[in-house]
Amino acid sequence: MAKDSTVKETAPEENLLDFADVVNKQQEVAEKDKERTPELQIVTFLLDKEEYGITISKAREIIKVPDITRVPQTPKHVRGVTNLRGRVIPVVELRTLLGLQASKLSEHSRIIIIEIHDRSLGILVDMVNQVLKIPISIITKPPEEVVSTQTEFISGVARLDKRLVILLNLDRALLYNTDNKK
Amino acid sequence: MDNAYRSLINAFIEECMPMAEKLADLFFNFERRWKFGDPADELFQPIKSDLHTIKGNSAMMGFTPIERTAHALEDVCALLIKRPELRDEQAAELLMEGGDLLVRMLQQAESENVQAGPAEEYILKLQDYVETARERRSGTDRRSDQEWRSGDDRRQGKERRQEPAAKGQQPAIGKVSDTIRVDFKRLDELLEAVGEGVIVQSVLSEVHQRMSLAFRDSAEVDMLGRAILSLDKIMKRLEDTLMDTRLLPISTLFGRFPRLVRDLSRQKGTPATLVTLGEETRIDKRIIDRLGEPLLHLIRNAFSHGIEDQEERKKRDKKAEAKITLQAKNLSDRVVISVGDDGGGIDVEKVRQKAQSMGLETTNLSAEEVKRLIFLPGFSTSAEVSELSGRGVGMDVVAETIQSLGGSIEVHSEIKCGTEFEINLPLTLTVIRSLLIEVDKELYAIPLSHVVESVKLEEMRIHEIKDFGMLNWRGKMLHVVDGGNLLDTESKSKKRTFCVIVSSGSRSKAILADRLVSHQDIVVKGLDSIFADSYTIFGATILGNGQVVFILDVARIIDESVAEKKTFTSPPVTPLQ
Repeated sequence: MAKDSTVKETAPEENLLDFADVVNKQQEVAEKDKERTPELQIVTFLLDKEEYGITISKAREIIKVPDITRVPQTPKHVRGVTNLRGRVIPVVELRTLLGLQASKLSEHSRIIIIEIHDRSLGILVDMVNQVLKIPISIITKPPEEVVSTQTEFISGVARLDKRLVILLNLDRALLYNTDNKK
Repeated sequence: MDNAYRSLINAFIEECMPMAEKLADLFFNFERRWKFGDPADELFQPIKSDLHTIKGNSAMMGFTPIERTAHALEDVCALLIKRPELRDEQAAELLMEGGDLLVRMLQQAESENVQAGPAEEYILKLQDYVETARERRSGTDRRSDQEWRSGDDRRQGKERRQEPAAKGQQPAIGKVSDTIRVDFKRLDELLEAVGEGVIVQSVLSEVHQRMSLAFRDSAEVDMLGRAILSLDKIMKRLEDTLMDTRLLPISTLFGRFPRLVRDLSRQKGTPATLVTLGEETRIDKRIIDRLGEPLLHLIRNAFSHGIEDQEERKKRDKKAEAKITLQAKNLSDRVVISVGDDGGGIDVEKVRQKAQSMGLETTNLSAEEVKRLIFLPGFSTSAEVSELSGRGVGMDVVAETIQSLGGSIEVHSEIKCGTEFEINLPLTLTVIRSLLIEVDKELYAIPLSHVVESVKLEEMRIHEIKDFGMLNWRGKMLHVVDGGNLLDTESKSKKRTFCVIVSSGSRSKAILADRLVSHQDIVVKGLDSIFADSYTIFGATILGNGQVVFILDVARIIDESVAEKKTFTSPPVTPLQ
């Protein structure tokens, strides 16, 4: 490890409880390569066996699934609301939004609390996988076989060795929720 | 470190200053009452406890002169309690001097520079007084001498008391309150904190309730109960004070309109004046912030739809100058704002025709119901969209804004006489009394201000006309809606036990529920825009157990029921361009 060099340009520090260690390690590893190519730091998670990723700067924290209260007259992709330390946070069923079956909760299910445009929302995922730094160069346009219906929320695909991580554009996905109503 | 000490001092002053001011006031009361031979016994208790607190706190903070003064005052009070015959004007004046001294020293404490001199002098005087009084009782003949001395001191005290006042240092009574400017966000944060406090408090009461079931006759549980009771009071006071801080006089809003009316009046060539009433009425700043647009729109509407042209006014024997009235008034915990004009009123037939041209069935609607149609999206009876009232917002947006503030809007109109819009708003946005109901195992809160009555269903009979439930309630036929249907619950029960009569403005409706759970003060939390389609709810709250419960939007539920009637097909209107 290059101990003498200091971290200069990294993504904004995020307080991601479960992953602080992993992040640090990743940052150290990434330092070597940082001269070469700009990078993107992402959180990856599973939905129906596929691996998805969002940029880490959007994620505030990851929590186990608490009680979710159903809300009358909501679109299908809104599972309900939950109480996060005294705040009422909507929980979005990402699977429904992507045209998948609504999820059954398991012990691995998690809610990723994200913040966009002053709004806090929780997205329900089957399992959180890891925090990764990926060089932007490996991101490509989504191939057709991955993208079935909801292309508009997918900003790209990252190929890592044998893995394929689908990158989601949450801004678009969540703005879609509100704009689509009227 | 320094900062921590500073904030300690601030906390100390914040706690003690009101007490010292109150003491000065109570001592002043002594003077007036003792003069007339009224012993004013009941004042001693609060005085003793405040002195005690001041003494303890200032000892802790190391402000010895304050501590000693409070202590000496305690002694004098103890003496006066024991010997009512000593309660005279002289004693009262001595105490008043002490009250003022405490206030002055607390002011000095702010700059951490409490002067010991005056305190020591005063304490000596008090000791003197006590001694004299004791001697008087034991009947020594130094009595006259002592009386003279204390009399002299008293005069000195008087002089000293007047001096600072002349220098502009306020004595305790009649102190001018200082104002500070605070970022409103801070108040929001405070309010949120209070809100959370209220939630924790309800957790506590629940725990206490359970404990008192589990451990009967336990002194500790009783103690807990009493502590919770006083916490209740404190939270209430905190909340009230904070709420009051957030209120602004509505004149800040009304002040914008005289100019608008003048401009519109010139533009349109219709002379008009604006009369504003009740400008001193106070309302939450958050509401004021959002009320500007709706009021603006209503006033514009008065010009473009209400006020007739000069010829027409002449024909109707009206003054050439039209009158627009903007009025605010308090109605218990609500504020009613009305915007009125003395124009032509709403032509019900015209509205009806317009509605029909939009594909609405209106034959079964009463005149009042027809008037409400103007709040539907895309509704405008003016033949062409004028520059005045146009601007792309309609009455539907006005109604929506008002409802999102937890209010309602009504229209009263008399053809040829004028139109008045009455907006009924909550005083504050955030904490409301509510009735918790259960529908298919889900809890919902209804603001108590909208609840007229709740009744057991067996006492009432629901008439079914086609697939439409009606309830005869005090001679009025009310539309009945099933809570389960209204709220889309998953497993709907066939049999409901309770019926809650709700109202908004002059209209009412009955909602069927399974259980009435409780009355509760709830903190209203806004909902994300993702729930814009959930017309039945306008906010959420968090109960003591952490459960999220939604608050029903009664105004919109009632509107929706109008739309649900068979005369309308849902969705009722498509907006016209």
